Order: sequence, then C-alpha cells, then structure tokens
Amino acid sequence: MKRDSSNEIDNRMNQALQHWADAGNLTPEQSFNLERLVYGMSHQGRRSTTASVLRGAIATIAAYITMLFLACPAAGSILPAAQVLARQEGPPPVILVEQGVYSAIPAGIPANMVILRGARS
Amino acid sequence: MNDKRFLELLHKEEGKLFRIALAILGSESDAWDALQQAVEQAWRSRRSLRGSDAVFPAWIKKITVNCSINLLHRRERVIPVDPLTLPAVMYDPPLSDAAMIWQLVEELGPDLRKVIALRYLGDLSLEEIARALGIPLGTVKSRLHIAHKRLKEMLDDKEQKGVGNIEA
Repeated sequence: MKRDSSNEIDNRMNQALQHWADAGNLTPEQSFNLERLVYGMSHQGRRSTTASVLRGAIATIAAYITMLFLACPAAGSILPAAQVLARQEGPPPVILVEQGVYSAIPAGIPANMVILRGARS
Repeated sequence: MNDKRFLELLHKEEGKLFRIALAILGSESDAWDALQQAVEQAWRSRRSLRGSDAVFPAWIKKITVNCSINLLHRRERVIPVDPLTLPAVMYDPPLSDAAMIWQLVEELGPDLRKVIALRYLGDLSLEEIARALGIPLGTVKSRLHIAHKRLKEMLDDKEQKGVGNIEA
C-alpha cells in the first residue's frame, strides 16, 4: 500500500515535471542570442581554418625555396657554401674550345678536360 | 550537421533545456549561463553526434545537465543558492498540475529541489546524483524519500483546501 503510494507520487512527479519542462520557452531575444552565438562560433571556425591553410601554404613554399637553394648545385652561384661544394664534389669541369684557340686555355686546366670542337682526328 | 540544421534542432529544445538548467540551478541567470555553455559545447562536438537527428534531444539534454552541474559546483563555492532569489515568473498563474508540482518542489528548498531536478529532469540514476552533488548515496535516497513524503502531504493538503474552497 505504502509502495503503491510512493510509486504513484513518483509517476505523478515525473509526468508533471516533464510537462513543466516541455512547456518552457525562451524569449525571442534569448533565442536570437543563442543563434548569434552559434553563427559567431561558425564564423570564427571558418576564419581560423582559412588562416591555418594559408599559414601551411606559406610555410610549404618557404621550405621548398630553401631546399632549392641548399640542395641544387645550380644555386651555387648564389650561396658561397654550395659553390665550394659543387667545385669539390661535382664532376670535373669540361671546357669546350674552338679549334685554333687551344693556346688560349688557361695554364691550370689539364689537357684531358679540354674538348676541341671541330678537331680532326 | 550544418549550422542551419543544428539551430533548427536547438530551437525545438531550447525552452526545455532552459527549464532543466533552471530546475537544477535555481536561478534564471545561472540557467542562461549553463544553456549558453551547453550550446557552445554541443556545437563544438557536433561532429561526434553519429546517427539520425532523433538522438539530438537526449544528447544536448545530457550536455545541459552536465554544464548545469559544473556551474552548480562553481556557484556553490562562491555563494549559496538562495531560494528567495528565484524569479517570480515561476509562480505565475494559472497553475496547471505541472506548474503546481514545480511550485511545490520549489517550496521543498534547494537541497531537495536539486535531487528532484536531477532525478526527473536530468534522468540521472541515484548513484549519478550522489556523484554529481558530492553527497552519499544514502543521503540522495533519504532526500528523495523526504521529498516524496512532503510532496504527498502538500498535494493532499492542496486538494483538501481546493475541495473546501469549492464547497465554500
């Protein structure tokens, strides 16, 4: 009997409080404020996504250019360190000269590095 | 879920969510703070919401209850909730059965109100209520028992008075 009474009040309270909550309404102003909050977060999210994409792109381009200067022997003319590296480890330089100006080759260049264009064997 | 759909679903639930927060916190300004926090949290984690829109109400209600409990802890450290500061709008006539029961719950005082709000509106188990309020399980059970008993007495009393008024 006591248990039935407790269950009855339990059910009644449950139903009544659910109805009370369901009947709740926000004022138009409060509702609008929630909407503004969501749009604000959405806008902020989009802006930070764009900014991070831009930052990533700039960093990639900068890294690519740096790699070009450091790794490419052609960049030796710009970076002195790369120039020395290219001289020391690169293939031996080959000098092409027209026949008849053989005598104009500088004294320090070995003869096997000289190709005579138009030379007859 | 895009912003538009999120807002559509939110607008259907916002009034109910506000009242749930109000029932737990006992103050309109705190309930509004809790609701805003809940909406912010829900929007940020909306991608974790798998399945159809049908789960949205239960999902956002859970977030609102959690935000209200967190705010309750923060507020209790600063200032105790005073039942006299409750907005007059909650006592506005006409009193339906639902509103009358809510008014009776209010009259029980903040300790009993919180237990009842978490039990019936937050759908928490007794163990979860004990954890949320930081009180022993036995205290939750006894508060719920006292609340039931006093509500029954109040309802009987009101019904008797109501009958008396009609007869008079």
